[in-house]
Amino acid sequence: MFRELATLDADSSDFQRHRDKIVERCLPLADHIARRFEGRGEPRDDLVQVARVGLVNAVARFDVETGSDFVSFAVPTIMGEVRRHFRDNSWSVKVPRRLKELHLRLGAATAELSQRLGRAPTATELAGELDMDRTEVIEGLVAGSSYNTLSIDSGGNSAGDDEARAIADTLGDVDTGLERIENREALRPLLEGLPDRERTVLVLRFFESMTQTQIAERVGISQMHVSRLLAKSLARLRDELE
Amino acid sequence: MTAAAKPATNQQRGDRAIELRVAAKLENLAVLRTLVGAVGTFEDLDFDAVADLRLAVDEVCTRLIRSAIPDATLAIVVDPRDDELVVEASTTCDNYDVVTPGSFSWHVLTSLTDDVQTFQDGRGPEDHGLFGVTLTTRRAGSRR
Repeated sequence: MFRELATLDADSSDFQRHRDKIVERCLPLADHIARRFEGRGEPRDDLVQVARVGLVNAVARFDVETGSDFVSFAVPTIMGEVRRHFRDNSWSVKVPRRLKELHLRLGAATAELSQRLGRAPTATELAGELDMDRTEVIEGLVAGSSYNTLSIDSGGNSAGDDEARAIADTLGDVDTGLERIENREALRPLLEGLPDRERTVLVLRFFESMTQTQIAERVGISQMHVSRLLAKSLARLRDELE
Repeated sequence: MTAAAKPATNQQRGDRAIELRVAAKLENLAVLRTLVGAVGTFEDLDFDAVADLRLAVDEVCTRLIRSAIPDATLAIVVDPRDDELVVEASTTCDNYDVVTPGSFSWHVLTSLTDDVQTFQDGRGPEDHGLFGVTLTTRRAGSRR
């Protein structure tokens, strides 16, 4: 089909009709790729749409003379389009690419500084480390806090889970902290009802007085993730304690 | 209970204090959190302190909103001072049991910040009085 297409004048309606026919025949391929990216926080219809755009691009760019087959050319092209979609859209608000890249740099430098200082850094310390303007760092940090919770690599790290469970087994230690709380009898079963990792993080923060950075290191997740888990657990306990 | 009779007056607030007034609705929590997080970062609190303060604001404001009378306005003041950042949140409540010492909520707030105080304007809930909570986070240098 591509050989036939190559013989047609690119501006002719015959060319367009023939090209559309190729696209139509390959739609199941695009849809199949879209399906592989489902359940990562992007609506299914959007994914199909984006994958199809990738397919159209692949058909337009494919050069039959290279001798490779179309499918092995199209698959990476379509996947690339879908990945780009995730990169551009997994922010809950639209943030310029410059800020997204800054956000990644800030994340890496924060981890390194936390290690060195033994506590979380401040914006000024981070700016010094990256040799950047303080205002720019703050801008990046504030934009970063609107980053969507559902990231493309949001899969859990299983080693961290095991560790979390091991720490959660020591819930007995909570008792000393609970003594100061009047509604502890109501609270205890609710704490036990939390998922292991959420409970561990909550216990370490509120009953063992560890900082979020220390908890992040111990459990093997980022400090931002610790924050999110705490927010989620506190909201749940608030509802249940009503 | 550590309750002051009156909220801090404008004269006591610093030059960089920021006040935000929103409808006392849960949908507005995100913007309140973001404001406090942005000011905390700008004021050079370390990121643990900023993250803790955001959680504390979430806790306090959710409690206030749940006790607020219909159509109430929630006011939040973020007041950066030399050695601490003070966040004051208040609204018109139909009861004053918003956060009480000894509750889990109180334990959470005192773990997340360095000081927690409540205040009221003395009119009482029957007369649509104001109830508020003040959270204080000390700067890293002046902590502990």
